[in-house]
Amino acid sequence: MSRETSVAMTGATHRALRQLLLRGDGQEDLCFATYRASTGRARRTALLVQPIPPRPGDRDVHGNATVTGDYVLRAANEARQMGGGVALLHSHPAGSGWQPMSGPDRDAERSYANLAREITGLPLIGLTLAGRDQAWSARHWDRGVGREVERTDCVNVRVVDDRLRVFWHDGLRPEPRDTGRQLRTVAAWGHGTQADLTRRRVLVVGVGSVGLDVAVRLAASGLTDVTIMDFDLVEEHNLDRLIGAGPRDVRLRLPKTHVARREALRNATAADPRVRISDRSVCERDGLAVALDHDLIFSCVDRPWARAVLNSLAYTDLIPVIDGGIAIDTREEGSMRNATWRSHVVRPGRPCMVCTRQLDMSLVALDTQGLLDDPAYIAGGGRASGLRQNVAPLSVNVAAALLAQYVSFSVAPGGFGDPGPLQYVLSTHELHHLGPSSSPSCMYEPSEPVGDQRADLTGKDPVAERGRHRARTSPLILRLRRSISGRLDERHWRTAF
Amino acid sequence: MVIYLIEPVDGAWAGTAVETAVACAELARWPQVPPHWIHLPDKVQLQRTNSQPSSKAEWTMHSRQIADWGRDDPGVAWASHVRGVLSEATA
Repeated sequence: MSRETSVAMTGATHRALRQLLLRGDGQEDLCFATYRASTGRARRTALLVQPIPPRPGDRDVHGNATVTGDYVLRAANEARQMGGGVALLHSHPAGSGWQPMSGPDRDAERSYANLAREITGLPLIGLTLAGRDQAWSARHWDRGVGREVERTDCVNVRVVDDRLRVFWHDGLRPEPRDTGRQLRTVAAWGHGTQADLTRRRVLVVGVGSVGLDVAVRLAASGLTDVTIMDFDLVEEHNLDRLIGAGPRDVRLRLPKTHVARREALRNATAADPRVRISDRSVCERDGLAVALDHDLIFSCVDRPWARAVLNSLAYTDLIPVIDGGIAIDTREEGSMRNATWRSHVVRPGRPCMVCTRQLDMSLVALDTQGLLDDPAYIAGGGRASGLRQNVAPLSVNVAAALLAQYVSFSVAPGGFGDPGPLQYVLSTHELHHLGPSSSPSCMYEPSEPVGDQRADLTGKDPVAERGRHRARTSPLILRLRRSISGRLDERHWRTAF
Repeated sequence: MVIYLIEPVDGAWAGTAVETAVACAELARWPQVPPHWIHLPDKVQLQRTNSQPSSKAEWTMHSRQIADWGRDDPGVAWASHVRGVLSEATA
């Protein structure tokens, strides 16, 4: 199976490499770095870990730059010791945007590709830093051997900082065609930003009240590649919050992903939008593999296990996660005392969900054993059954809070990236910037990106299996009607556009 | 099953090393995810508990949720949690 390739790094790594590669005298320079692999279902990402600065005599700068064999060996051995691979990085001081490979650049990288792979077992990664706009371009030398070794150009390079910067290979992922339907959006942040945002592959995990709104808004803003992940069916008690879903969807026992896809496509403004669906759980190994194919993830789930997996991969695999939720506080007699909703971007440089107390890891053990929904366990007095109160007029605020984080993190209005954790208090109508810091014992935030070496939190998810089973075992007539309904929706959308 | 000794400082077993255990399956995601069930010999009795039979004969597993996991050293936090549970023992 052919895979896309990509490179990701933290803002701190980007700055350290920029310091090494962009010289005051305007000459090209180069250095090595270590990386670890992060393997998704259809994409392989090299996560840059640590620059390896050259020692005196390690390289020769003469307009261009060349390295010694000793430097190559030292870098490859360091990479092997940490179970990773080696990246060769060089600068084009006068360049801007994605850089094409010159003959000498290609020959230099090819000459080290076999050696690096022999020592580390992983392909050499080549990166170029353009000096004018500090844009990265990259490739994996992962095809062929010996003199036949060849590169696979990366689709993008991602820098995860207070904003997510993505540099695109325009040949592999061209700018989406202009439809004229996004004029107001483009007017808000410009063509360049729109061309970047609309190419990002975004995953929405959980399409309940919040996730459905988020998916629809993303499609409406022109995104071309959105994936929706959920395993639940639409039920009657969902209808007060699932805007767009109706009694017919309940009768047809439609999966929530089908409704979300239908609504997202109805509202999509891209010329050729792709809204993919997955009935996996992100807690399952193949669900996690799907997640690893994405540039950005919206966490719209309340199950602790799923949130634990997403919290982890924001740091281990450098895929930022925009997370939030609502808490409604009721009095004993049932009236509302208060409601609060929170939102934050989970990424290196920001505290994780455990440190912000948005995730209780002790509940994950219960969730993995299916005890959170087990009536016998709940009746045994272990814990109260959660009603998970929510109301339609407020769930849209959570979606809005997540989308505001998304815009700040992607566009950085006024130069300000993600604002950190925010909490809105309904009773007093106040917005608080929360200032939690990472715990000294935090297992996520201080760690290096480890990719495929991450602690495995996935496993068999009985709740997801039950959800998929219910969809599969619907009566034949329902499945037929569901299929016809889906085809009609698809045709309606195609005709309408 | 991983069996270990904990000496509570309070309760019916204060000052005595008590055998306690966790199931290996619950340690699969350690240290990120703490175990939930504390397995104790039947002779250790807790007043308020949601319990189920343990896979170890003449033992019972008790449902106990640990607070603030991830904000302290995992080993220390777990030992402290079990010590606290044992301090509730009435016999």
